[in-house]
Amino acid sequence: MRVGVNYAWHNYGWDFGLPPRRDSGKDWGPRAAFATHLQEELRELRRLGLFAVRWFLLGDGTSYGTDAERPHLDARDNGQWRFDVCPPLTAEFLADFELLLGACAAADLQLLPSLIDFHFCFPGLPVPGSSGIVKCGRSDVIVDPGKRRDFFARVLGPLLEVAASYRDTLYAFELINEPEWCTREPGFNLDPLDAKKTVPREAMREFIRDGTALINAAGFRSTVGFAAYPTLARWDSVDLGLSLHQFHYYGEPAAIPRQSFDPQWPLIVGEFATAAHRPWPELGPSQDVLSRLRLLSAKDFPVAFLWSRNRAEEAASEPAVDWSERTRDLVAEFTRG
Amino acid sequence: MGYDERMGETPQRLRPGRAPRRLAGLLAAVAGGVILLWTLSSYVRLTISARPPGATAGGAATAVERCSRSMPADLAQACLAELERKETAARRRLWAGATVGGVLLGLALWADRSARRQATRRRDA
Repeated sequence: MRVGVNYAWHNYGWDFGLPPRRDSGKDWGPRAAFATHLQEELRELRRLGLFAVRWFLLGDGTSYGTDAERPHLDARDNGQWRFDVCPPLTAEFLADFELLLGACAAADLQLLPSLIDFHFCFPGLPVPGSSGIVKCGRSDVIVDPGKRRDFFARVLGPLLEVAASYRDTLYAFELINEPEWCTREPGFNLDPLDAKKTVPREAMREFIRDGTALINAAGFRSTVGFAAYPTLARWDSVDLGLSLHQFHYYGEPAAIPRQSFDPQWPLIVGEFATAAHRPWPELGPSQDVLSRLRLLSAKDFPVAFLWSRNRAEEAASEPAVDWSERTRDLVAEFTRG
Repeated sequence: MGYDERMGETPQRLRPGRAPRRLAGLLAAVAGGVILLWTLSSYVRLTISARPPGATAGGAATAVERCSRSMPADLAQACLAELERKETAARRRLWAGATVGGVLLGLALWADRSARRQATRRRDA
């Protein structure tokens, strides 16, 4: 089994392109700050025996659609957030993406970019002190067919064009991370009461199907980082046209099903915790990242991505990240066989 | 049943002023009930919307973590303060709704009960 790692960002939502700006005119920080130590970091990951990094591109959309183009509240529509125009990606964004691809190629690592995160569709979150910036609030991109087309033409298309020069470096292209968290399931449930569930399932499936077709047509593997294993069947991931199926595992279901997808279009684990986090029921009390990797390998998964090397996430309320030296040693022990 | 007995069941005409008072009581009860139901559904909506979406690393991120992720410290603090302000305002609206709805419903019930008591007293007298 090959092992990759979720980078997953240096600056969530503004790793690429011009940085967000304060009302004072000062930038939040330097542009593409990840680039400063990227070469050493990628070399270190390669040294551990990892083959790829997964990286969030737009995240919650912080830097995509700012100032006059930022999402706004629609008072007429029960407080829904509107994203009127899907702007094209800037030249700076595309250049930074190419910089990342180039660095991965130089380090002999592959890249799994994740285009948007589920937060992209959550209700908007204005940033006081940066009135041109609204985090989240962009569900129109998924729900409105016209905006969806614009988004694919102005965002996904140019990224795929850049990636075409790095065909061997791009492991696969992920359309969205964990779409379940912003999607309203049909039927009788509490989803209509949840303000975070802004996208009906059918609209999300159409977004995935349309985006997947473009990725496949560009000659890349297409994937979606489903949050849960049962979604693969419930949303019919095969019918969506995905060529690389993916789910995230954080202890549920109790027994990890064996990988049984066609080897040509396999199922991979896109995230699992490097910290103790929630114990895996199939493993004993003294489980660690090594025993987890061994279990996934025994279940025939061809690829698994660790969550994550971003040590800032170790301070989360329920940390899933442990990128300590010990974890890195255990990862290296596994990859060395 | 004889003719005289049926006459005894015929509703008596209400005294002038009593019908509008009853209607007002009924309207207050309906308004109070509707406000309480709205408050309850808003409470459920607020509670459901405030919890982290799911059990993955990303899904378990709280609103506070979402606000502060990769943001300059002062902006993150301002964002958190804004979130808190919005939540406080929403909770205040809930309290106001519960109070107004409760008072209206309570008054309507009290008025209805006292009207019945008066009617019973009059009948007994």
